[in-house]
Amino acid sequence: MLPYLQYTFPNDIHIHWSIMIVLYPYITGLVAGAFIVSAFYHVFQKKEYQPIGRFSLLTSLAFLLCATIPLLNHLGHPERAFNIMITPNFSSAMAGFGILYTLYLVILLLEIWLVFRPDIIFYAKNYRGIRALPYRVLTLGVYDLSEEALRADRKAITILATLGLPAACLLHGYVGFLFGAIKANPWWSTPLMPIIFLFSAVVSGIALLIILYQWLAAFRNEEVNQDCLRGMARWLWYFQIQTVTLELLEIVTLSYERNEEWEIIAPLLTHQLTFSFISVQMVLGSLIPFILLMITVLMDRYLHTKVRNALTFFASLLLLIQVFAMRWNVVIGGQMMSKSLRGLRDFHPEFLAKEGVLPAILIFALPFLLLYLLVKFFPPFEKKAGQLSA
Amino acid sequence: MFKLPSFPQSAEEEVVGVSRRDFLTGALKTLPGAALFVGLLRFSPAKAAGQALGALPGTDYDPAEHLYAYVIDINKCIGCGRCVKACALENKVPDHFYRTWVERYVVSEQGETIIESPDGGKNGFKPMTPGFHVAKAYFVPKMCNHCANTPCIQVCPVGASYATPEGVVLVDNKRCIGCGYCVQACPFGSRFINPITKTAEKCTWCYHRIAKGLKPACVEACPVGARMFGDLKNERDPVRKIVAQEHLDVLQPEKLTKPRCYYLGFDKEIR
Amino acid sequence: MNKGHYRHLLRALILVAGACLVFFLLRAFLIPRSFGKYGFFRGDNLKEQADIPVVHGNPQACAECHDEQVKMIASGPHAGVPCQDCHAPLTQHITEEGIVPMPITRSYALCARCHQKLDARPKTFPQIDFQDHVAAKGKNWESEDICLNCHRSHNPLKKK
Repeated sequence: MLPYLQYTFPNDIHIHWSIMIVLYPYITGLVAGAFIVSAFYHVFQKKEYQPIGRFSLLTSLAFLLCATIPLLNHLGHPERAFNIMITPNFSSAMAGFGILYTLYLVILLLEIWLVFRPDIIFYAKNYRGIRALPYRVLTLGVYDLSEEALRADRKAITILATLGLPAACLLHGYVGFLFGAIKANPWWSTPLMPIIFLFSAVVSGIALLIILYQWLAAFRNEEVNQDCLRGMARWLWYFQIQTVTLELLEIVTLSYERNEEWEIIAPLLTHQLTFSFISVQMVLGSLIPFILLMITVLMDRYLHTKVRNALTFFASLLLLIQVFAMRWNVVIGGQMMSKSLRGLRDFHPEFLAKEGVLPAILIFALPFLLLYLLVKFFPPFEKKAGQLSA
Repeated sequence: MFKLPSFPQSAEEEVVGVSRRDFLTGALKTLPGAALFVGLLRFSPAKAAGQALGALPGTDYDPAEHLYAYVIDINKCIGCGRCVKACALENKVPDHFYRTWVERYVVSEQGETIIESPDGGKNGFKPMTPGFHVAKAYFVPKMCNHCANTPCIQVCPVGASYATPEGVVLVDNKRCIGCGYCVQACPFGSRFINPITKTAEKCTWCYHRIAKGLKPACVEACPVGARMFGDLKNERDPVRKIVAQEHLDVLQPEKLTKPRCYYLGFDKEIR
Repeated sequence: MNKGHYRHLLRALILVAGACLVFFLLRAFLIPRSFGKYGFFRGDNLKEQADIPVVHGNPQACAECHDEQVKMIASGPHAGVPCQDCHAPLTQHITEEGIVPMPITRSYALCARCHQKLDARPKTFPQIDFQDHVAAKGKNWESEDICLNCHRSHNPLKKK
């Protein structure tokens, strides 16, 4: 390492924002991404996304409900977490969290409730005893499924989904802003940050849904709807190109401007982040899925169903890794350089510590468990329930 | 204590002729307004900012009568590290964390620079062999700059970080949630999360000392007078004269945080 | 259009509004009383911070009992060196249990903190290369209190 790159401020040897803070934007990214996919169907009325229209809403909810867990685990005083809503200091972007989170949660809950209302009423009527109770409560005592009521519901769903779109973007873009507006850290401080976060959120959301959809189809012994998959693969490719372009643009600009901070960012990329940035984020996570998706999109009509399924599945898996690597490189990478801009430090995550690797894995498994329960409770692929009750 | 909107005790009797339903609708209309009023307007910082509130209860110390500044003279510092030690003892700073620290800069004629701060300088500095001919060398004490326009207060989501009327930046460790955002936002590395209390911690200019008329522990400990602390509202204070008349530098002026820690004898290598 | 078909939407809205109401009411109780007294923070914290007990005593306090030593220091080159630097904070000496003897360090390490020759020290500040200074005089360099053989700590230039 260069001789002048040896000095970190004495307090800067600790990396405060650990894997939990990597996980948090990753999870909210999936929340926003999944909601945007649901909006393809509920707002933009793209009929080919009908098969996952309801499932993507449940995915968004499952991840949203778990989004605060890594944060609470990271806070020094989780019991004081509500201070952020009791005395929010609005000069801080972070104070907006409570409002944005609650706003989006309410919109999402209402939309899911309306989308599943026919099913809820059906189960409330057809189940017996304790099993029917939650559904009965959820009907709010109204069993009206008349054409007028359903039309009102559809209108309300469109309004909610339209409101939910900016709310989801805000919830996630705000996370990017948290980093992008820190002038003390040149690796974070760029107005591109919220946009990069948002685009990569959409990438991760679509990728997750492609994987879950194919997996659930196999599990339920159903055919994967190729129109739906084709559409998602195209969007995935588009958003991936956008994301990687923006990510590279930021670095190219930094390197071309050759400001004072490039002297520390260059060694950061070539020393500390060689593996996670160059190998994982750029090559494994960007170049390879770019080629896979290019084949899927450009050679679409020559592809066998199974090949298309496999190509999109693997591209999605790699992109999920890419987005995680991106969050890692931003959150951990930014803290690897001291604010002296003259020294780098290492990060060795512990496995069992409070904010270690194992808790991170467990927390990330939680939304999948929750999604499983939600799918059991509100079967999103069943059509007959709604039809029968109607 | 604030009062909740009180409805007439005998609401039912008073609103004779008004059905229960109408009453409930009325209540539903007024209550949210009342709640919003109580909830949102409980505090109005704007009102308090310029207002004289007098001495702190139980003391004769009035925050509004002071405006502090800190001057560090690099030419005088001998790097003994007594200030770091005194700070650690005075404020019970945990090991390997620093509210103040001392850096050593060793610069060659070609501009090569070695910077170090072993254990924050708490145990002083040992002779070193830099491997080049030393053109200049100096010690730089560092600490919280108590910026007038500080990013750490700006980013605190709960109002736990704040500036006192006398310009001291403090942390309320009973409200701090330990998110660490202020640690990230401080360009000077002056903040850390205390591993015991799990809250953000930083130099307080020894608020508990200055409120009793003493100087901060680091200033008292300095044997050569390299650290000076004074009150800009006191006309006879030597620090006031230095701030007014000398050529001063601050750390990272391009960040526009307006530090209240000023440096004499600055060098371009210092950041 | 029949209003009846909006019943469920209305009920959901009332639920949301009710939750907001409960939140704002709870919040009103949870804001600390002194919040906003001086600015956007809990005003009582100022008093709490001011009330933390001091550890290092007032530097003038030492003269109350040790007038002689304080006068001796004041007359020599160590006039600017505070007592609590080389000894210990006053609260370790005057404790709730009474007066505890001050620790006295005689080690050359203490002297070296200030007087070991370093490039970064101001040239005008008195400093020596310990090894040269001691070995040149044929003294035992390993001895802990070597400095005090010749110098008085309270007035180092006055010969013993």
